[in-house]
Order: sequence, then C-alpha cells, then structure tokens
Amino acid sequence: MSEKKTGQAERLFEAMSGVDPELLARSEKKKKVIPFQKYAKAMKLMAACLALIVVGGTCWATLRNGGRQTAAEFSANADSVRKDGVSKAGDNSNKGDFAEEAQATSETNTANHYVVSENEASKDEADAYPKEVAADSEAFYGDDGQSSTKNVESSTVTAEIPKDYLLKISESVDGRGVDSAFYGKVELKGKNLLPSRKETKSYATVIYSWLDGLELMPAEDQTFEDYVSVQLIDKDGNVAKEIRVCDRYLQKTGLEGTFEIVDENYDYDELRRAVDAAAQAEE
Amino acid sequence: MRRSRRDDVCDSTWEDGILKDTEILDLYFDRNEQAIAETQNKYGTYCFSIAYHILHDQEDSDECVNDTWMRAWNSIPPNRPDYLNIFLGTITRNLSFDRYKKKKAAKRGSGDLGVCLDELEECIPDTGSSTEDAVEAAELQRMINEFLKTLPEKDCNVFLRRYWYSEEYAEIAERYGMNLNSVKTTLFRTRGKLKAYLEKQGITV
Repeated sequence: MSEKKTGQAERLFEAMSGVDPELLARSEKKKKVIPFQKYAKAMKLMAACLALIVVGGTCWATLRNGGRQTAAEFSANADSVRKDGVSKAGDNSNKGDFAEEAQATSETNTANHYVVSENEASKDEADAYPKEVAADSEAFYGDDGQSSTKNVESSTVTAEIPKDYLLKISESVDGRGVDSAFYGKVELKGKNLLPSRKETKSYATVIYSWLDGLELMPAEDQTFEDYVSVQLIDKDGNVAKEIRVCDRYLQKTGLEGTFEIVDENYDYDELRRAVDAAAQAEE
Repeated sequence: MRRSRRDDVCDSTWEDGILKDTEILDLYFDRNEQAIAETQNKYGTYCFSIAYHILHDQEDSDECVNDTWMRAWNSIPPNRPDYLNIFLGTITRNLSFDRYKKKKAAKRGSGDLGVCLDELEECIPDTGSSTEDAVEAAELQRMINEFLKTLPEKDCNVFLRRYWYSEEYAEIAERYGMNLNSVKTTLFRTRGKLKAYLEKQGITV
C-alpha cells in the first residue's frame, strides 16, 4: 500500500482517540460465558445420544406397562372423574361435548400424555381426582401399574419461561378474575409431580405437557365456577397458547393455585403494562 | 467539589483495597501524590494492555504507562473525566502510537498494529483529490463518532476493540463469545460501512 494510504490510515487511527468514552466503556463488557457452553459443540453428540436413550426408555416403559387407556375409554369414564364443581352441574348434555373435547385433546397429545385411571374413576366421586399415568408410572404406582393414592412428597419444579415471553396465569375465584404475569423463572410447587418434570428448562413445556395430559380441559362453551387459564404471550402481545384448567383439579392435587416467582429480576410495572397490552389486543 | 454523573457509576464499581474513581480524582485535585499510586494500582494493567497491544514491547509499554501517569497528573485538574479509565487509556494510546510511529520510522519494532493499520486503509474513502485539504482532525473525530453511533452495539464494540484497543481477533472473540470468523466478518463489513460513510460525507482523510 502506498505511503499516502498508510499515512491516511494512521490519521484515522489517531482520530479514533476522540471516540465517545461511553461507547468505549460499553465495549468493556464481556459476555458471560457459562462454563458448560464452552463444551457445547462437543456435547451435541452426547446430548443426541441421551435423547435417544430417553426416548427409547420411554417407549420401552410404555410397552412394558401395557399401554394406556385410549381416548374413547377415557371419555367413557370422564364423568366419573370430573371435579365436584363440574359434576354437580349435572348437565349430561355436556358430557358428549366434553368427551369429544377430551378425545380430540387426547389424540393430539404426545408421549407424556396423561389419562385418568379407570380404577380411580370408580371411587367416590367426591374424592375422585385425576391420577397421572405416565410412561414411568411404575415409580408412583407400583409394579402392577394400578393407580393408587400414594402420597408423593411435595416436589418443586423450577423452570425458565422462554425468552421474550410472558407467562400469564389467570385465576377466576368466585367469578372474579385475577391475573398474574410472570417472566423469567417460576417455581411450581406441588405434589404428584413426576421426577421427569424436575429441572426442566422450559416452564411452558412443563405446564403445557402436564396440563395437556389432564384431558379435563373444558370445551369452549363450558364454564366453571373456578378455573385457571394459562397463556403464553410473546413480546408482541400475541397469545401464543392458552389452556384453561379447572382450578379444583389443582387443589385436589395439592398444587398451589398461585405460582411463586423465583427470579425477581423483573420490572413488575413493565410486566403489568405488557399483560394489559396483550389483554387489550385480545379485545 | 463537583461530582460528575459518572461518579455515581464509578462508586458502584469499588472493590476492596482499590479506591473509587471519585476518590482517586479527589487525590488529584488535592495534589496528593498518592493519586498516582492509586491510579497505577487500579489502572496499571489496563493501560499497559493498551500500550502493549500497540507496541508489543514490554519496556516501551512500561515507559508509555509511566508517561501516562505524568500526563494525567498534569491534566487533572482542571479536567475531571467522567470515565477515568477511558481518559487514561486515551493518553496511553496516544503516547503508544507516537512511539510506534517513531519506531517505525527507525524501522524498529513489530506487532499487530501494522495489520490494524492495513485494515484501516480499507476505510479510506476514494473521494477527494490529492490537492484537497484533509479534513480537520476534530471533524474527523466527530464523523467517526457519528458513524459509530449508527452501528449496532455488537458491531461497534468489536470495531472499537480492534481499532481503539488494537486487540487481536482471538481476544475479541473470547471477550464477546464469538467465533473468529464472526469477528473477521463483522470487522470487514464495518470497515466497508465506514468507507461508504466517509465517502458519502465527501471528506478527505
């Protein structure tokens, strides 16, 4: 390169000394590197192998337990496992709708699909509550695969809500709507949570796969005295997904109706504004 | 004593055994020579790093750093910089570059700075003739600042680490958790943008 160009480059280099100090200070920040990430590339293959093992184990356990109830069987038993509030409504005309809903839901569920135990359904209706029969139900229900009323120690799931999402939990108590919105991490405390649910990275995955498996979601024209609605709202205020579940179920399982925030690094006012904006967008 | 906006931020970065920037500046204003010792304690490594990236020589870098303390002593007061580290780093950078030019003229020394300068040649606009006066240094600085503010934060940071701090690609990649190719690509594109920006301004460097 010519000397003139070199001189010009030097001049440019010298002129850089006048850069805004704020820009320079900003450049000082280092990206936090989680030690695990340093090995991320090398761990990809291991993660793939683990995934295969998990899937294989799940399939094996499913086959071993002799499968699960079909959606048709479940819908036939749906009435007997409704909550007190629902069954008391005594509206048999809704049973078919609910059964269809349950069947439709069942058919869309994936491997972690939960159904109601027939044995449990035959018990006292007032005390009946859905039992989770998962691929690894043996851990909870013993070798015979029968449902039982084993008490499981209260367990905790801590998970992170996907980035740029809000998890909005709406509770209706005695007809009054109460909204809670969460961002970051939440801690879900309750009983009968399967070990495989613990320490999952995605709260949305936890709650959706868990709630999806209940198959007790009411049809849209159903109303319940009490319900819990869970929404995942993206950064544009769009509702990505919504599930409504009868709160009484949560009470029955011992799951607390409110969700404790683990990560408090959030701006609640900003969160509220975002939730309100999402609600307005829905209207 | 006037406290700048930055003092509040500097106060929050105080660590055990190291004075806050505000306290160091107070020593300068009190003409307490302990200011230099405290500055050395807090920013010695930082300034040495800047000098070494330019000069790639231990002895020369040490001299530039020592000269930096003297320059700081002479300029504070009346200056009370908002960012003491940047203020000192700028002094070190200027001193180091002056020394680099002298060594280059004497055909001595080596290092990565030559590569940096070669890269910066790509930013020289093609506009202007040899008869036109080069833009004033202050004006060029202003334009560079304006340009940097148009960049995304990441691109700006990478550009500054390369052409202000004279860091190597690997260091920049490690700092920001990027891979080497990303750093090179980012710099290549940013240089192109700078050239286009200077050409659009119609200036001669």
